Amino acid sequence: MAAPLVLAILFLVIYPLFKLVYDSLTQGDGPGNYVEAFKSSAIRKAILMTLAQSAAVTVLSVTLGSSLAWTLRRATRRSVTAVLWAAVLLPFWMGLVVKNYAFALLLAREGAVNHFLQKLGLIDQPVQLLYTAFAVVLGMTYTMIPYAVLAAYPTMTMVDVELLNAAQGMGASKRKTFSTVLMPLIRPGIVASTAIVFAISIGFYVTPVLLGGAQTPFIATVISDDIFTFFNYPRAAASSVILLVIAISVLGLAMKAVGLKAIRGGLG
Amino acid sequence: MTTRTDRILDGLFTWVGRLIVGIGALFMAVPALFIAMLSFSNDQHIAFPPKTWGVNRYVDLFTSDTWAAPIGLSLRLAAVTAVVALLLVLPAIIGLKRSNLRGGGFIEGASVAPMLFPVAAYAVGLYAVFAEVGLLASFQGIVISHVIHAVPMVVIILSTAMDQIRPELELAAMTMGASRGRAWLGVTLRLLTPAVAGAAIFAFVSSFDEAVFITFLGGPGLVTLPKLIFDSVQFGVDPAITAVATVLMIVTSALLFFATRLRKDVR
Amino acid sequence: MTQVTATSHGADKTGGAQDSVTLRVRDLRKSFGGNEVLRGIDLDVRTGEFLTLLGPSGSGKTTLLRIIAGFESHTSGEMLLRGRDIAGLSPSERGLGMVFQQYALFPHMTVADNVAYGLRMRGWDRGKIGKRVSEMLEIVGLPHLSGRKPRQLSGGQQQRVAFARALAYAPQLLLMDEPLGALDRSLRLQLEEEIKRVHRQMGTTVIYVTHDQEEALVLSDRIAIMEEGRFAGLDTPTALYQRPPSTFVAKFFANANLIPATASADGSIECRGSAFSTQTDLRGPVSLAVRPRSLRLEPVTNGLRLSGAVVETLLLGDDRQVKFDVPGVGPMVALVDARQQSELEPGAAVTLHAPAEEITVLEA
Repeated sequence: MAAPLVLAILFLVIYPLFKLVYDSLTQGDGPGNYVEAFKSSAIRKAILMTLAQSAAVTVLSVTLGSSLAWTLRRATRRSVTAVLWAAVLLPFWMGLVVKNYAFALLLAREGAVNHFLQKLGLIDQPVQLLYTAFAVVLGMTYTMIPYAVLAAYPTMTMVDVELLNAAQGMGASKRKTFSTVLMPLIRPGIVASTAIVFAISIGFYVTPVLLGGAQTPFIATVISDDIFTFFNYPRAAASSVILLVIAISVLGLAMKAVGLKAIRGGLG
Repeated sequence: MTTRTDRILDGLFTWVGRLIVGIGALFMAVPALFIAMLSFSNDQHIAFPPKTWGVNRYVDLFTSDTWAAPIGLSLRLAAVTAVVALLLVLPAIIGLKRSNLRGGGFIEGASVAPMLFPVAAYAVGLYAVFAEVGLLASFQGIVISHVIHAVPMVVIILSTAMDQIRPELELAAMTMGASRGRAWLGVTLRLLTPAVAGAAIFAFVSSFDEAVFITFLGGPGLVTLPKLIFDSVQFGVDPAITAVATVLMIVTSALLFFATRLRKDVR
Repeated sequence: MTQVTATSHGADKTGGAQDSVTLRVRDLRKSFGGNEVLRGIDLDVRTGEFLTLLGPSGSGKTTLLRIIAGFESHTSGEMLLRGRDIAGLSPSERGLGMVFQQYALFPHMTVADNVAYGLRMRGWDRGKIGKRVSEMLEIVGLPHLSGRKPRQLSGGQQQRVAFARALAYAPQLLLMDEPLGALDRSLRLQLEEEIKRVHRQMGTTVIYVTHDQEEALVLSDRIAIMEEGRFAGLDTPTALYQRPPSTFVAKFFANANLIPATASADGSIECRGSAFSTQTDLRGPVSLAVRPRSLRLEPVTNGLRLSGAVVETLLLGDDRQVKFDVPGVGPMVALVDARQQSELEPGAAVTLHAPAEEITVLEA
């Protein structure tokens, strides 16, 4: 009964990825595609931009996300948990294009953020917020927070709250309790969350285009340009493989650190 | 032991924690509320704060023909995607979970993995394959990409649901005289139904919302709703988008909220 | 190890040997891969009796139960339910009742619907089902919960419902797989009493699996003690306790001390300098099973004498448990009357005696 799914995975998941690697090594300049990709300043810049911004997104999402997850774990009042869950899941429910559109409107020259900053007297003239790295990081963080929360939450539910009371009963301060008891216990969740958020982030396409524009190229946007503007499919394949290798390395490292179960548990 | 300084620092620590959570929650809510508010502005151009209020944008949305065709295409794509994804995954999961087949975990892992692959890289891979077999810019091609995009979530939902249905229930029904088929239909499948419905909704929404594969694989002819919004935001803004976005937000939230509830029902 | 079967032992303890047999199992074997899990089980379950399969985990008791239920296949052997061969039948065709450790109540049905399930499968009409369901819920003391869903019930209540559900269609044989394993101690005691009462009331034949020796003692008419896929003993609780048929039963079930000894040609036993006469047929090296209660401080005329050093004593109310070490034999446990003098300080020398009639002589 599993045969159709297995065939679908073989032909539609494994084969395309295999073909990608194969094409990147045989078409165009062959292995030279990679040399060309690394020689192109646009692609080098895109790779650095992608990694730097994804790292920022990961730090922000995981910090906010695990704080939210822990609050959800500890909250006892139903109303509080309901509101928090709704807030956390809202980005999931909003749709990818719609939430980026919302950020575009918020960050525009005559958008709400500039309006409030002027009202507060912090700035005289509207500042450029949209089409900056800041906008991209903000929009992507918004998208990734639910992933971060859901990835960290399962390990947090497994923490026995009595342990924290025990630590404090033995004289540990709250900060000490956090660093010596809670952190070690939730580390697998945090690591899984970090890896998942980073791996998904580096493949982003919609947000960099809508909120970053030409100023903040992502690997995905240069790939798209290579295919549709420069008709350089071999180089696009090479860039895609680079993207894939980064994602797989990050996930592999995380798996080595905390095991497959923590990663799988982080997916829902 | 805790000292006075510790107490002060601990207080600070607690408040910083609360601040982070507060900012987080606010940050999550603002974009949605903001769009909903702007959709009730009657201004010619989108500006904040709106000067005039009204429902003109909703009137535009429901009277102009710009939106009807993409919405129709998106709905058809999403429906077909949901059905195909279920037909692919449901028998597979039931087979894997009830047969203790070797490699079941591997198949499950392989079908969930695309969730973690960079979408753009995977889209290029599909682009190459589709170019080979002539599926670029075709409805079928988009369905295939959307199905693969939906499969991980469907697998996760159905597999966790199956794990929660203990095999003893079927055995219990059989000792009490139910035939194998009846025990399976009346107990296991019956208990799986909410998860199946939930998975179908998730697959539907994931296709309805999808904007990357359609950009890479859809060609100029196939314009779905997300693609249309994506393009119009990129190349000048039609104010009616705020209304579309608000409607979309409400419908998707309602659907996904319902799907999440269905998923919890099994537990 | 002596192989003991239902027909060879204690047949008269629970009623006449002529009692009809509900389930007859002959030379039942099961192997997984090259691993023999059941190595020739012979068992006659008499109509109306409460028979317990007792053994440590991995001894094959659950496998045996699941094979009888039809969940697993066996490699060879015979199973007859009321004379009918059931080996080839599916679980639904066997018509047995089953209570699972984790209850296995259908979460999407109410308590009443759960109890009614087997009756519906048997095509009863609605009125009769309703009457039977309330009767069963009455018996297990839960008539007020018939409209609840299983998840709204406590563990004990769920297990009562599972019990009522399995008994509702009056199966010829009820199988219970560690049904109290998931419950806490006080609840377990309460449910043990209840199971006993319902068993008396309904007269159903029961095969019960547990690893808890106390549970088996309280509930069973007969106990089959399992060790590595075969029966190490099958008899009434009293017989097994007082005359364990093997060293395994003596240790695992009767908590007896095992002491190596030698049986001479005239049946007298020689052990650590003391000698006494018995009626054993065994010769040469033997094992003496002596329960802690049989060891006393006063000398006996014909029996065993053991000298050693007290390791520690524990007061258990009326009794005092004395752990002592006999050089060359190892640690032993005795249970003496706590009202007697208590000069049993750790380190003190002590001599204990056991009368010959309370000693079981076993193959070494």
